[in-house]
Amino acid sequence: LRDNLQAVLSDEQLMTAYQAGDKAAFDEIFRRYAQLLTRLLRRFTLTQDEISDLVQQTFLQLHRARMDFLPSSELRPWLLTIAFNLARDKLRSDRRKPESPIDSTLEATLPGAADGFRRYEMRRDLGLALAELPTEQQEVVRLHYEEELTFEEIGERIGVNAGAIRVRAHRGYANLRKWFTNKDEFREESADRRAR
Amino acid sequence: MAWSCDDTRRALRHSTEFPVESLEHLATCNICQEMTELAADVSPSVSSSVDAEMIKTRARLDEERGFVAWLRSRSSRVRSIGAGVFALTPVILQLIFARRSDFSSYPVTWFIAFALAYFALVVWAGFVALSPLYRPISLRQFLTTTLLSLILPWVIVSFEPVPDNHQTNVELNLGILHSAWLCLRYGLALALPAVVALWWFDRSEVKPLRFGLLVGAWGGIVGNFVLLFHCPNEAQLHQWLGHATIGIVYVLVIGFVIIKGRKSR
Repeated sequence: LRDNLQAVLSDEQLMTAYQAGDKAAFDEIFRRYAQLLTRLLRRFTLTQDEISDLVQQTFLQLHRARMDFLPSSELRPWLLTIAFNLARDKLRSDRRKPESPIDSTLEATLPGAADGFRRYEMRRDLGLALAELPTEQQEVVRLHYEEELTFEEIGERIGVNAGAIRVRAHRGYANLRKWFTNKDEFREESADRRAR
Repeated sequence: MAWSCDDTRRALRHSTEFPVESLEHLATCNICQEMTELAADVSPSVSSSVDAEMIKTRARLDEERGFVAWLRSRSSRVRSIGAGVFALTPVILQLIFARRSDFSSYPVTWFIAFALAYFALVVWAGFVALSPLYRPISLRQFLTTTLLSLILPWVIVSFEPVPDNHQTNVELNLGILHSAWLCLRYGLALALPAVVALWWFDRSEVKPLRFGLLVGAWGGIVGNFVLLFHCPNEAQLHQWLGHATIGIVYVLVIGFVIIKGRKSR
């Protein structure tokens, strides 16, 4: 029952519980983010052991910095920023350069490089996800990601300043991510937006 | 050239690894964070067991015991204030209980100007050194602060005005090296608690070299701040050798400790 209760709490509620000394809240945060952090860190020149160590260090830092966390802020970017900074320190101290292409990018292997059918499925899903975005976000993400235009170029093309384009791109990518990770929540929010 | 959102997109599209230069941008750019997270969210899940990783992490958390662990898990505000207290206490005690003999004839405006410059740098460098990982300070800011902390004492001792009844090595009956050594020792000793406090308040698992350099330079600022109120010897060479070198000594010692620690890993 306790585990079920933890599972329905938001990240921020879990963090507040952890600040108050609830260790189970930490375990739930770990369950939610350890895999994501591992996948993110695979984009850098790091071995599996190093990635594992960095994920552990990220949570160690979350523990040490727990009293800094404000319930009004978001846990996800907080945690990712810690992970990126730890990776930066690690790579700087090793002075390593990128060596080889990897096989887990959005375009190439989101679907799984070895699996043509899954690849096709994921491309299709990406198309479906894009189609469900608000039109202005859809347009910006397509121009930015698929046509590889800069924010300035997109701004010129559709007559909006680059700052506004960046905001749309941010929302667009965030919504796409939500579509892939929690379609129900994404659709509820979309319906709310339309109702407003 | 600085990493940009376009570079992030290119790296994602063309399946190349992200270089270290990208991380400063990724840590602060919410669009790039969303792009990379999206790619990670939809990429195949990794084979490592979350439970096994959690057990390892829990083991590391269990080691977080004792006074130092308690210090570094204080909030950033408390850590910054704590480091400031360790830095400013010897300065205030020096000013109240052991003021330099020519204090009354020293030009007040210069005193205030130098004290304010040291104070501002103690506060700023302490803030930069203890900046938490979720609120990153750029490498450029870090290095600028370190450089400024190292240079300021040299600038101040080089342009310090000479009060009417200042003393010299001859008057103090000391050789230049001996008098410089006494001040260097005094400055190093009184800055040591602040240096140790800053080291302990920091949350890094492995101290980066840049942090060590800033801590050393910070020690130099604290040491010179104390000596501003302590030493009446205005001989230029004495000030260069005995005062301004405090930061350099700390930087060399701490840099050596970090590099040696890294090699022994």
